[in-house]
Amino acid sequence: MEPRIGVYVCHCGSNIAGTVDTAEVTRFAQGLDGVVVARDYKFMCSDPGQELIKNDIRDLDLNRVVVASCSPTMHEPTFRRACQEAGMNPYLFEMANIREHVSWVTEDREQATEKAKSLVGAAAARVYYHQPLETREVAVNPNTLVVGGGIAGIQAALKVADSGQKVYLVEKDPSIGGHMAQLDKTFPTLDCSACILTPKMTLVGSHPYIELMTYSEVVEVAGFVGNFKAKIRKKARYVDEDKCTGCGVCQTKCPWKADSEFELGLSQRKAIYTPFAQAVPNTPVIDKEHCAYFLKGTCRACEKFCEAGAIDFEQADQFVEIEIGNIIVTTGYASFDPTPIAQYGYGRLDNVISGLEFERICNSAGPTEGEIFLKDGSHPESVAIIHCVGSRDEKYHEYCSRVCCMYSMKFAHLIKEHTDAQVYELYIDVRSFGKGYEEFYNRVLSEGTVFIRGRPAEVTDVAETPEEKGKLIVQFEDTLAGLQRRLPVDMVVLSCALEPQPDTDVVARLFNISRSADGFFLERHPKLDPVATMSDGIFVAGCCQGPKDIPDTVAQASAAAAEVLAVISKGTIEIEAATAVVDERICSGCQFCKMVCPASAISFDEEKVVCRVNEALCKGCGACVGVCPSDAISLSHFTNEQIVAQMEGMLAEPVGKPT
Amino acid sequence: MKSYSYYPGCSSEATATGLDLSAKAIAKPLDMELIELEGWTCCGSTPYSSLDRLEAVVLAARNLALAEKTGLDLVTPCSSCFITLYGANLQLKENPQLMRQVGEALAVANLEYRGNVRVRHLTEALVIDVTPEEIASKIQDGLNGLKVAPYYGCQLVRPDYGFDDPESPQSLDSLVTSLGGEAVPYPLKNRCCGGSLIISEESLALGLIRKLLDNATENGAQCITTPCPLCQINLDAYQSRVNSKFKTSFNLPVLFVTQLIGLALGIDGKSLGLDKNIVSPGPVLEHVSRVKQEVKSGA
Amino acid sequence: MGWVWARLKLRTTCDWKGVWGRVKPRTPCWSGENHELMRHYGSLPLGQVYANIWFAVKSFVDEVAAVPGGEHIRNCIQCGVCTGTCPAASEMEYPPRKIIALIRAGMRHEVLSSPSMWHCVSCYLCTVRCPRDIKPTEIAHALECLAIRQGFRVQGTRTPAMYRSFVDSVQRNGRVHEFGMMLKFYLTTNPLAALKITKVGLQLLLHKRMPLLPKKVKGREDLSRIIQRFRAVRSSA
Repeated sequence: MEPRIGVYVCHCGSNIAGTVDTAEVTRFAQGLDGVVVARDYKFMCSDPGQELIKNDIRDLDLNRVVVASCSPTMHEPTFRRACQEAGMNPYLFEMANIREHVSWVTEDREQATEKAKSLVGAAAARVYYHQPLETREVAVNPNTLVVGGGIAGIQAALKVADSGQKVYLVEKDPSIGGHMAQLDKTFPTLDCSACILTPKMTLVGSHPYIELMTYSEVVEVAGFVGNFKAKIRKKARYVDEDKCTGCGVCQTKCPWKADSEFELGLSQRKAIYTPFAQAVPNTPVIDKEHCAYFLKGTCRACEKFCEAGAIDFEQADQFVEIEIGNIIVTTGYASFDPTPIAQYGYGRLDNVISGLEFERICNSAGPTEGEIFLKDGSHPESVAIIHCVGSRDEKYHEYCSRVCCMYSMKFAHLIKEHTDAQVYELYIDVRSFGKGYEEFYNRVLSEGTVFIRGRPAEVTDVAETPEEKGKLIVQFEDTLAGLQRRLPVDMVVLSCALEPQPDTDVVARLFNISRSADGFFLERHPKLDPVATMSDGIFVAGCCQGPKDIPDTVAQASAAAAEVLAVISKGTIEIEAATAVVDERICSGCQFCKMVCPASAISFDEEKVVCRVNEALCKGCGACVGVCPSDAISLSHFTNEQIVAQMEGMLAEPVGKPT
Repeated sequence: MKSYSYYPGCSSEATATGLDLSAKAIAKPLDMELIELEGWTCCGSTPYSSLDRLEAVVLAARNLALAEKTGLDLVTPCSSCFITLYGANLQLKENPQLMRQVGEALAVANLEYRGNVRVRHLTEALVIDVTPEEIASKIQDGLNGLKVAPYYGCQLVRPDYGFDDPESPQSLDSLVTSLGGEAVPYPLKNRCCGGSLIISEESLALGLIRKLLDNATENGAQCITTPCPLCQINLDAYQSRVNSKFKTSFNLPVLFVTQLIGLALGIDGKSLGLDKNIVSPGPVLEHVSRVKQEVKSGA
Repeated sequence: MGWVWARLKLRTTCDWKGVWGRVKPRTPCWSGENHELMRHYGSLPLGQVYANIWFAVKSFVDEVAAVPGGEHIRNCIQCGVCTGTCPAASEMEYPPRKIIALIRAGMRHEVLSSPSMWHCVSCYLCTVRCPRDIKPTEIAHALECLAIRQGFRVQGTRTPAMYRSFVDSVQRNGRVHEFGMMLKFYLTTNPLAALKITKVGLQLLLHKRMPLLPKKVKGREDLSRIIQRFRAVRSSA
């Protein structure tokens, strides 16, 4: 069947046509080998644009189509579908990306047009050799892995599990709850954070469809959407989860103490501990670093007093392998450490504290039982809250952390509620964008909190006047009054940025997720695909994708759950027709391909001493093709013939035709 | 022995003679060779660059060209010269057009600059090359617990040269400690003394100097040490002006860090130019020698 | 005739680009760059004057953005950390944040005739603290250069005179001769003010820290030849 190619050049409004001479590209395409028709149109992806292709396929008997427009990740499915609807095999379609690869990255019109022409030439030359292929469907494993047990992970896990599908929830800490468990109240409604979170935590702990693995980490992930395999390391707790009744006697009897991570070092916990009272599961862990038995071989007090006999000093890390169809990554954020901003005196000056520390101090379950104390035990008469610490700063994080304005105002309210102190908010811009947020700002204003516009220059204890003696002095410009001022206060709260977890790079590699410039995980599309990632079947939700508040986190987690359920409820997924084929006549049976295949799709036939590809498992990644020393494997839709033609088309003289 | 091309700076000939003398005096015992740049001229300091930025770069370039011929690192004990030479060097390297124009101008005096000089502050060389540990090893009695406020000033650590933190610098503290002195906490250690504006905006500068003296005294310092000629003259020579303006009674010796090192090394006061200090460093000398005697009589 | 027209037109405002659209009489800015421009364009036909000014004069913010250190001035978010930090802010009519706002508002005359930037002590604290990588210290020095080059008369600060004495001393001796420089400064500004620092001066003299005569520096002539040559190269470029 002689190829009859149609080429369609998209203007994409002015996105492409603003830089590329689309008419010239069309003229060029008309002269290419096998091209029967070439047209340009304002929006090829629109209905009329697609109709144009469909009509030409029918009327002009086209059997190959090239669209020169945006990235294939954007619209390849659209145009393939259009071709299919007009009765053409969708694999006889090829796309040239003249937007992301040309118009958006080139300033010079002439150069842009030339580049667009060579890309179109390449696509036309390649499509010449395309073969019709059939897509295949594989069954989806209905189990889901959720990584990270903060509010995002809890919400996603509950939503998926409530539909009757199995969820594995993996959390690295001894309890789920995440940062939300540490917060006191939540803006703007001032619900107690624990009061709204703990019921959900309990539900997770007892849910018949959720298998909770705390104190555990995912160490390996293989496979692809619908059929992932994950290996999970369950760190040794030294407490048998099945036997432990959670009575807590071990924690009372343990004589050894360490700084509590949950309380940010503001108070101590025992060497055998649950991070906080409402922990789920309510099974303690033994901290080897501080346990006398592990350090000196003595004590064993917990073991003696445990009536259930749950203490097991011999326990070792366990590795569990699970099979799942989808993964939701909800690994959260870390709070910015303000120590490097030396001028704010964190760590050097008493009573300069971070926002998260304030949450604990303010919390009735916290180390001070909700009393706001200074280091010397007295109550503050004045508190300054500094916004944007580590945010909106090119030296630390360029982005706005989105929640600090609101939590700072919440602090102001709580300080007023707990003390008689005067509160000052030192801000650059107040960003109260959410539902009910501006109203909350108004409320805090009317409560008498003083808002001063100006990023503080420094916090010092060097007094210049008698009134400043013994105080912390915040120096800043009151930019609205146009005055440099010094403000003596008793306590300074630093509203610290939200930043990516320190191990984000490891997690990103593990799950093959990209990261945006700010270090957070990158979603597939910032507007239209906000929870998917570039890896099919792997979704993100919550602050691991970028700073956000609880309402947004919960919404995103629910969205991720819906995405997963959509895949599960369909039951199968269509996978790329492109698969690897082994030419058994050439294969020497070296099995290199088998070693590199990420989908475990290659098996070795011992009898014939050749490798074979299981088409149902093959993802068409091409790793085996590259590694095969005898050139015995080829990848359909990426044959040597096609790729060489594509290169020749690209390198051809501007007026030339593919050879 | 490590050799350096040495740029004393104009103040070495007048207000900061003590800095120049003491820098040269401590070099040998610390295994450093400071070879004074022959025919050096003004670096093109702030007053010059505030009137004509580019011409100021030419002034710096002449000295850089002279230094390039020696093939050695260029060190200067003056913070103001340091920031000027360092900044001009950077600007020349980043701006080829300026480099070309400057090259044309230098050619009339048969000079050429290719951008290969590394500009360093003497303090940096002391901390990075000689190291406080090395200095400590050469000291016998040292300062024996003399309470010193290490005053960095501004241009030694800012904008940011990477060798010390611009907001909470430590290099001088480590030097003082290595000399057997006690570096007192000095929160204002990197705050401004007013610099050259002491001449044109005296009241502004006096206010700043007063805060510095106040803060050092409050923290129990027996003296202040600084590497910067401008800081030294402001804190030392203008201390009496501060006293008369604010009715205070400061009498705090202000020593160049090189003088302090010299003292700890046992070099005599005259060779270090200590007789040129306006606020008498007598109490410092007394403390050091008294403790020395105690140690001797104890032994 | 063209000269007169240019004068009338030029004295209207501070930002040329702004003026071009709507001529609004504002603070007269009757000096500096305008003088230079008028010297240059005074003899040309009127149309040519306008055309030349249109192309020759960049907007004020463009001009500042073009100097090293001024590159990021458009990124300023007016957070005020520079002014909050500045040890000389209390002496400034327009502290750093405000001066950046004025530059961006195109207030050339207000900025360049102000004494504010001459109070900069070059401590660089604002520069290390700016969250937008703006370098207010460099901008202050650049503004000083612009004010001088464009002939603005600055009232309320003696710093320009001090800097001038410094530069003169360097150009004469190759190095700064501190006594000569101080002498010239007090003679050209306020000789009586020197009385206040007699004690300081005497002490410096007594401690041999203030030689009365400059040294003969070897590279002095070379330096002035280099400067002359550089000026020629620069003006031809």
